[in-house]
Amino acid sequence: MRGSLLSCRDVAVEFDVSGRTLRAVDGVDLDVEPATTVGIVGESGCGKSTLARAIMGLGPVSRGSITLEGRELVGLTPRQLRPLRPALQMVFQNPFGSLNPRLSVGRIVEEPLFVQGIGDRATRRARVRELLDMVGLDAGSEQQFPHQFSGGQRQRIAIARALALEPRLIVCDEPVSALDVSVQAQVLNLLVRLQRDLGIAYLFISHDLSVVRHLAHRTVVMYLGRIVAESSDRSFWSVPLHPYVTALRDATPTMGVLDDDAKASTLLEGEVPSALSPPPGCRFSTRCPYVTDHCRTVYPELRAVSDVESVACHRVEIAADGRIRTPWGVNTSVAERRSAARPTTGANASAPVVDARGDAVLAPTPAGDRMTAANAP
Amino acid sequence: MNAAPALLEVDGLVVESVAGARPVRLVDGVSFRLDVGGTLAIVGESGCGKSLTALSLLRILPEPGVRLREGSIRLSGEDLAKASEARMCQVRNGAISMIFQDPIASLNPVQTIGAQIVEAIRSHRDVAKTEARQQAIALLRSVHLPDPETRIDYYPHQLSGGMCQRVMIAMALASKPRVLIADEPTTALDTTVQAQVMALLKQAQRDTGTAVVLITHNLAVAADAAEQVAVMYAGRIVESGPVRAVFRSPAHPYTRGLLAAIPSGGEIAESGDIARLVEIPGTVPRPGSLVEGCAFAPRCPRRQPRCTREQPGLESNGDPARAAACFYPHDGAVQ
Amino acid sequence: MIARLGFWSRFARSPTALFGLVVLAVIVVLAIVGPFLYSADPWAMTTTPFEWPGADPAHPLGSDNAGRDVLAGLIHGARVSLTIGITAASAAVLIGVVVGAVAGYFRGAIDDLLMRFTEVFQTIPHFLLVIVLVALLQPSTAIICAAIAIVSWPPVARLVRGQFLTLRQRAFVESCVVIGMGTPRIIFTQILPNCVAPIIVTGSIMVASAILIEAGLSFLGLGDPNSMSWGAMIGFGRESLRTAWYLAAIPGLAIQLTVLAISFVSEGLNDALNPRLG
Repeated sequence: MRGSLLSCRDVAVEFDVSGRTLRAVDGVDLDVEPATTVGIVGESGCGKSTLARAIMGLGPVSRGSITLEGRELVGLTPRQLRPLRPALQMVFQNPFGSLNPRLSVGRIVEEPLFVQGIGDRATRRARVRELLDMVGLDAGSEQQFPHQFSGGQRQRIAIARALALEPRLIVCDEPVSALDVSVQAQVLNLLVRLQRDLGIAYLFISHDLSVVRHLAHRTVVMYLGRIVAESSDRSFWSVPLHPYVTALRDATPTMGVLDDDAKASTLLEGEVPSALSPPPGCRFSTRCPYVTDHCRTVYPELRAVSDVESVACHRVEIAADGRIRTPWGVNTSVAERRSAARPTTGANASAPVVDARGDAVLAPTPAGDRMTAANAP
Repeated sequence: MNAAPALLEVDGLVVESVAGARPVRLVDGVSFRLDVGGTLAIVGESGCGKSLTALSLLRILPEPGVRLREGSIRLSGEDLAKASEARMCQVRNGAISMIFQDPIASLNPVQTIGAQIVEAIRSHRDVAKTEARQQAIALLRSVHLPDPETRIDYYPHQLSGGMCQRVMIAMALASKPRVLIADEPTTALDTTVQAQVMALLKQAQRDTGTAVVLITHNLAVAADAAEQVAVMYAGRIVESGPVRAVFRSPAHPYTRGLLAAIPSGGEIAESGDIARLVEIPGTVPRPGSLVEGCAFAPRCPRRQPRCTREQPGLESNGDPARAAACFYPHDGAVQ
Repeated sequence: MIARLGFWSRFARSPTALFGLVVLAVIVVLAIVGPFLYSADPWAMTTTPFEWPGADPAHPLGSDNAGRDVLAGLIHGARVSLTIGITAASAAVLIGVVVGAVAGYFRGAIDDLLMRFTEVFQTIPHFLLVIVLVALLQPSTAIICAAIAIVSWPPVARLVRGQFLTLRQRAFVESCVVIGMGTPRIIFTQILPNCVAPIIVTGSIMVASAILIEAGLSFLGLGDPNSMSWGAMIGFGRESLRTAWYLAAIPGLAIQLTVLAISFVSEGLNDALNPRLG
C-alpha cells in the first residue's frame, strides 16, 4: 500500500538444510501503517519470528523487498543500514537475555544514542532519564543492573532502549510471553499508551490470541511460512473465514468456557507438518476438516474478501451478491462484518470498569458488593 | 462440600529454602483436598510456590537447599510427609504420577521412548519385557500417538513437543495412578497442540478415574479443565472453591485483579482506542521479604489498617465450599 | 563491574582459595623483594658443594653441586618462574582470545579454517614441540615464553570460541546490531566482557602449567642457561638424587606449592565469578 510505513512484498527466507530447502518464510506481503499495530499470530514453524528478524536485518532475506518509509532495506550493507536504524527498533521476547548483564541500566538505555552519535554526554543522560520516566521506572534505576529487576521491569528497560532513537516502528517479538498475567497487563498498557502519545507503530508478534485480539488494529495469521488470513475487520475471530483461524480460536481457552457448557468445536488432528516438505496444495490441507482434493493439489492464493480482509482458502465462497459463505456455517456479508457488535457470550468475563477520567479502576466494585457486618473494619 | 473422605488431603504444608543466611518460607501453610476423580487447579504467578507444592507431594524437592519442613500429605489416610524414601519410590509413578512442563527435556534423550515406558511399567509390576512392550504400544495408542508400533523405537528428539507430552502422559498413566500431577503441561506447546493435550488429559482422566492436580499460571486453562481451584500468592492459598464460582465472583482482591488483567479479547473500539487493562500495581514480593499482615496488602486497593497488622487465614465466609484469606473480601459477581 | 564487594566475599568463603592466595602473595613478595633482602648472587660459588640445609648458618638451605647458595637460587628462581609463567600465560590467552573470538563471531568458513589451524597445534605433543622450538632457536627466556605460549593457546581459543558462539546469539547482542553498532564494538564491549570469567580461570591455570613446562625444560638442561630457575635447580641436583636429594626436593617443593596455590586460587575465582552455586 502506498504511503505505508513498512512494506513487505513477496518476502521469502529460505535455508539450506542438508541439500533441501527450508522455506521458513515463503512469499509474504505485509503493510504497517503509521501509529497502528499489526499483530502476527501463528504456531511454531509459521515463520513469524523469522520474518521479524528479516525485517530487522538480523536474518537473511532470500527474495522480496522490504521498504521502510519508501526506502529499500534488502541488500543494504550494515554501513548503509546504519542511518536507517533509528526508525526501526525491536523489543525481544526474553527479558532475561535481552539486556547486557554487565552494563548498568543507564548505559543500556544510552547505548543507542551513543552509537548513533546523538547529542553530547549531558543531553544523552537527560534523555535517558526522560525515557526511564516514560516507561515508569524511577530515576534511581540508572545506576542499577539488570539482575536487580524483575522480568516486567526488564521489559520496560528494553522498551526504553527501543524508544531512545525515536523510532517510527517497533517490532515486538513476543514481548509479554515470558511475563506473568498481571505484569503482562502493565507492559501491554505501557505499549498502548506509548503508541497513543508518540505515534509509534508496532509489528506485534505473538502466539497468544487474546493479547493480539486486545491490541492489534490489523491481524495477520501465518501458517508454514505463508499468510493464510489477514484482516482489520472486527469479526475476524468471532466469525472466522479460515478453518485454521477457527481452530486457533477454539483451541485457546478463555473464561467464556465457564458459561458455555458444551464446546461445539472439533479439535484439530495432527501437528504442523515439516517446513522442509510442505504439501503441494494448501499448507493446511493435512489437518483441515473441510479439505477437498482441490485443496490438496492447488495452492489457494490470498483472496481479498473486502478492502481490509483477505483469506487463502478455496472453501470460502464469495457470491456475486456479496455474501460470504463457508462450510463451517458462516453466512455473512462485508457490511455485517464491519458493524459486528462485541460478542456478548462469554468472551469478556471481567471487563475493566472505567471511571470518569477513562482510566480503569483496579478491582472494580460492582453494585452487589458491600462490606458486610462480618468484615467491616 | 463432599462429606466423603478425600483422596488427597494436604494440611499446613510448609516448604522452606535453607540456602541463604536464614530459612525462607517458599510455601507457607498450604492446605487443600482432592476428591477421588476430581480435578483441582492450583493457579498463581511465578514465585507463588505452586510448583514447589506439587513437587513436595511426591517429595522430590531440590534438596538439600529446599526442604519440606512441616505439614501432612494424606493419601487415603497415609501421611506421605512422614513416609520413608523406599515407600515414596513405590508411590512415585505408582499411586501418584507427575508430568512436567518441558516434555522433550523430561524424557531421557539417550533411551528410546519404548524403553522408557517399559521401564515405567516394569518398575511397579512384575511383567515380562515382551508383555510390557505390548502394553506400551497399547498405551501409546490410547494417547493417540500416530503409528505407535514404529514410534515406540524413536528417540525423544525425533518426536515433536506434543508427541513427547503424549508419551509422558502414557508413562504417567501406565500404573493407573490415583493422582496425576500436571505441572504446566501445555505451556511449552503450540496452541492447537495444547488443546489436544488437555483434551487427552481429560479423556484419560475419565477412562482411569484418576484425580488430577493441575498447576498452571493460565486461569483460562484452569477454568476449562478443573472443578476446584486454589489461587496462590506468596506461598499461601488466598482463595479456593469451585472454579466457576471463584472466577465468576472472586472474593479475594488478588483473584479479582488477576482476572481483570487478562486481555478480554474484545475487538478494538470504534475510535481505534484500545481498552486499558486493569493493572495490579507493584510486583510480587520476593520470598523472604517478611511482611507483617497480609502479603498482598501493599498492592491491595481494599487495604485497611487491620490488613497490615494481622495475617488473614483462609476462611469460608458463608459458603462452606469456598474460602478466601481476606478480611474484606468481595461479595458479589463481577459486572 | 558488578558488585565488586560480592566477588570478594564469595571468594573469601573458600578456605582453600584464601590459603592459595596467601601462599601466592608470599611467593610474589619473595620474588620482588627477596633479592634485596637476601642479596646473595645465586650463581656465586661461595661455599663448599653439597652442604646440607642447616649445616652452615650462612647458607640456611645448603649449597648445590657447585657450591651455590640454594636459598638464593630459590628466591631468584621465584622471580624467573613467575615471570615466565605469567608472560607465557598472558601471551597464550591473547592469541587464544583473538583466534577464538574471530572464529566464534564470524563462523562459517573462517571458523572452519581457524579450527583446523587450532587442531594442528592441539595434536602435536606439547612438550616435544616446546623442546623442538627451543632447540631450533636459542634457549633464551623470551623464546621459552613464546614457545610455551604457542603450545598453550588452543584450549583458550576453543573456550572463547564456544563463548562467542553462544553469546553472539543472545538477544542483547542482537539488540546492539539493531541500534547500528559496528562489529568491533560489539565484540569488545558486549561479548568479551561477558566471557571474561572463564578466561580468567583458564588463564590462571595456564600460569601453573607454564611454570611446569619451564621447569621441565630447565630440568632437561634446555632452559635459559643464564637464568637460575627452579627447574634448573632441580636439574643441577639430578645427578645427586641419592645422596643430596634436598637439591631437587627444595625447588621441587617450591614448584609444587606454587602450582597448588594457583589451582586453589583459580578454583576460588571460578566459584566467585559464577555465583550461581548454592
